[in-house]
Amino acid sequence: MKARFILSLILVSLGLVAAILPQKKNSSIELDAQQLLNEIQQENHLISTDEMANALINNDPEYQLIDLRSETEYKQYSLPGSINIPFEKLFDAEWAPYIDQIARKNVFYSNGTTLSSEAWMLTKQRGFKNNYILQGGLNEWYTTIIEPEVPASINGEEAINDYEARLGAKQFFTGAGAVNNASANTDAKKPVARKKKKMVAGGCS
Amino acid sequence: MKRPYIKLLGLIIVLLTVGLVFTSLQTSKKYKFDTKAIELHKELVSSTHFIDPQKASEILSKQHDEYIFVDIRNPREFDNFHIEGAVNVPMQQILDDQFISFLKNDKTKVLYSNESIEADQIRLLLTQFGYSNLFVLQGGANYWKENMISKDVFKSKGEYDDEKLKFDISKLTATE
Repeated sequence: MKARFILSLILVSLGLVAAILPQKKNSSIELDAQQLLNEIQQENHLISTDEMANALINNDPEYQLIDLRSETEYKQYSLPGSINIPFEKLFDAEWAPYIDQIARKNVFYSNGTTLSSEAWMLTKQRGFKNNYILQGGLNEWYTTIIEPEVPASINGEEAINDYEARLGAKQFFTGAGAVNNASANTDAKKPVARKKKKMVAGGCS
Repeated sequence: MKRPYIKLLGLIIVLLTVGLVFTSLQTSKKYKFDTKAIELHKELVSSTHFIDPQKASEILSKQHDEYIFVDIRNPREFDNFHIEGAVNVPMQQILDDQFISFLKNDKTKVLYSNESIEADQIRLLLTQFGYSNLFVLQGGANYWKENMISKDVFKSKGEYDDEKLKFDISKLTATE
């Protein structure tokens, strides 16, 4: 009689453990193929270099840059405030609190967009929220923020405003021309209001 | 006094077992989904699924029957310019029933979009949902149009890598 009791007790505890386990596994929300396809097409997960530069200039705490390149590349150069999670370590337990969270916007970046978009796809598939891609990666960062192209005059006022904002940003990130051009400092703050609406669009994903 | 106690335990065990079977049936799909992303991650780290323009032009010039180029841009872009022999499957329709048998056939598909980002994401999506033998053309249609125009004429060597830095890294930190 006592043996049967112990046996039952073991079974009950086993059952309880087993019943709780799978529930932990699916705490994240599953997307089906069509939803994922829609998300890819909506492009709400792309953050432009202008928007990112702006966030960095304004010290916006909402954004967390994540550098997916190797440690060597990261040490050589990285964007301000970024942390390094080499792509192959993306799902290592130590980084889980960073990539599976709801507090901040993670912005993945690499030299191009391959690593960042793959990281986005994988985290999306696992149901993690708040992950984004820096559009064009460091290559685009360079051609838009560090060495912005001078717009042709036919591009109109908006293009010129963009360009001025970028020059301000360039100065912020490289320190170039800081001494002789004090007025550029105010330019750096320019894009604040204008770019905000784009960020709202990416809110629910 | 002991008997009803055991009966109660027995009942709990039965209920738990039924509940367990029920929930595991319901969650097995989600669990698989989760592991698949991790498997996919390992695959991405260990092997390449990219074909550079150089290799693609070789494939085209040798007329390898086992390869097929899939243009995932919209029909307008496809009509405007596409790689010789490519088939147009707009990404919006990639999951439609009509393309299932095409995506499942034995041929190796080389997906391309304007650049490589969309094709890469679509490849991951399709791989995630069970299709294999998919590759992505580095640089996409834009690079091809600029540099490869016809299979015999190259403006560049066709070695394109999206993840390669296109400028001198020291310029990023340049002061004065």
